[in-house]
Amino acid sequence: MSRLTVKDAEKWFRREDGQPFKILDRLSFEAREGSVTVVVGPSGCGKSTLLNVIVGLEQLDRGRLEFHNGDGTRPKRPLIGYVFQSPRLLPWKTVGDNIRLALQGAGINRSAWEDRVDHYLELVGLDEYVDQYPLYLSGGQRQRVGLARALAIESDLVLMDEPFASVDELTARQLRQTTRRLCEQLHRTVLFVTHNLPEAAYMSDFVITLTPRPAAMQAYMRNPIPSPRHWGPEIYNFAAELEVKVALKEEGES
Amino acid sequence: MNQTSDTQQVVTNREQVAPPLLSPSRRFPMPREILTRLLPPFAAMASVLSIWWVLYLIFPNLLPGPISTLWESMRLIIDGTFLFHMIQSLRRVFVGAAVAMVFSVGVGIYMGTVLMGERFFQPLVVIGLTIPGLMWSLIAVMLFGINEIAPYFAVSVTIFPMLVINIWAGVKALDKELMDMSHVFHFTPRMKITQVIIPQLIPNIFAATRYGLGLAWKVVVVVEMFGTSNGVGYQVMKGYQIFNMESVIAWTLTFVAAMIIIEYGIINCIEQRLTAWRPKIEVWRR
Repeated sequence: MSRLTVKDAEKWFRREDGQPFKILDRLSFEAREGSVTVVVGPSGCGKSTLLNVIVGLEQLDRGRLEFHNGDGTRPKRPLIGYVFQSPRLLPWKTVGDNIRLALQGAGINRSAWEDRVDHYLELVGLDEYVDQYPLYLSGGQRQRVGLARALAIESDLVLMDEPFASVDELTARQLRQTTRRLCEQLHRTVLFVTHNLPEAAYMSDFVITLTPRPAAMQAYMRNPIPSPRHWGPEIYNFAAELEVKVALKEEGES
Repeated sequence: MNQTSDTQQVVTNREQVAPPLLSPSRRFPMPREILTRLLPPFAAMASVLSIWWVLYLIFPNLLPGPISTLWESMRLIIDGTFLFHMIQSLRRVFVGAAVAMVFSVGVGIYMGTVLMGERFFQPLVVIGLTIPGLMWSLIAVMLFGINEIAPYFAVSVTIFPMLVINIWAGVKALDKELMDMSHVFHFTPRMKITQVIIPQLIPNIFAATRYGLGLAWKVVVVVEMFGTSNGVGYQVMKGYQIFNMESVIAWTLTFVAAMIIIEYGIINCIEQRLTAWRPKIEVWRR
């Protein structure tokens, strides 16, 4: 299992008029081994930027990231599973081929591909759809394929960027159950980003709350609800507790 | 009893299996679908023939009749003359287009991904677009003389800028989210090009191929008129020199028929095969 440490992370962008603005402000936290750390913050505060920095799509201006493997090594660019907000599947490849390509990119031996594809599609309940093209699937099914792809490469660290934001609430609830069950079962280190507080309360082992832009650490809490979890009053009670901690202010509001 | 439960099991399993990609009606088109598909092009051809017929009746000394021209076309096909000259023209078109395609895919991707590449090639492409194919045909024959290099060169340089423009536009419109996904999942550069970039460029490549081949035919015919001793253009020129209108139109018709076969028989089939992943929903076109 692996651990991710973010230390004093600072990131700036430029507006169209050339004016710089800060998106991450001296952000420090740790995603603990084998646990789900949920990052909560208002829309546009810099949550997705944080994930982009972790996977190497953006560079930090200040601060550093540290990846600690279970064997004590510190890889510079580790293999990371990523569940995107939209599934980002290649529409010209079948469900199975989308996962096979991720396995090929991860350098996994070809002989293991079929077992992994079958196993992870079965875990997300889509084993019959291996030869289907993504455009023939529903939004929720595509997101499940995205989840299977992220898990199939068997990286210790998995990032999830508001993965259920684009599906309806009933489907999102099913997907949360599946994802939470898999996180518990597979013991991966997961960093989960959302602005949905009940979702944060349901999914998390630890919760980090961020301030509105620029994103800075506001609170770090342990989720007291035991596993396995069910949607019920305790989820909404913890979500209400989080709401007190989070300054849910849109950009521009006082 | 066991048989019944086995049958039920089979039915249940069948229900669980994902539906086929294409419905049976799409695999085997119904007669009505065939009719609605074929009727419009046949009606268009019939309109052209009718206009031609009327013009022939008005100017019988200037225009040959459709029937006699069709017989001349049939004669050309049956005695093998058409096949021989068409193969020569086809070879010139495809070699020239293939050379242009290879270079234009490389240059188009380079222009779309590297800013300096875009700045370097953009003015050259714009200049290339403004030079007519006829000019390239003349220059090619003057440079290389009466041999096979002249048509290859003329076709390549004429269609190259059009192909580059299409590919370049396609690269600029690439889905950034898919590119990011390929980076996150550690795709190698080769995987990015073959699995992510090229498939997104397929519509642009086909548009460019159609446009490029159409232009290549015109250039090849012009080069063949004065730079070769065989090919469709050479035969058309021969008909022109003896003022045999029937021969000129017969060659043109057979040539057009060959182009339609290439477009519908080859390019369309390849395109449909490569884009089979797209659902065939065309509600807005009904």
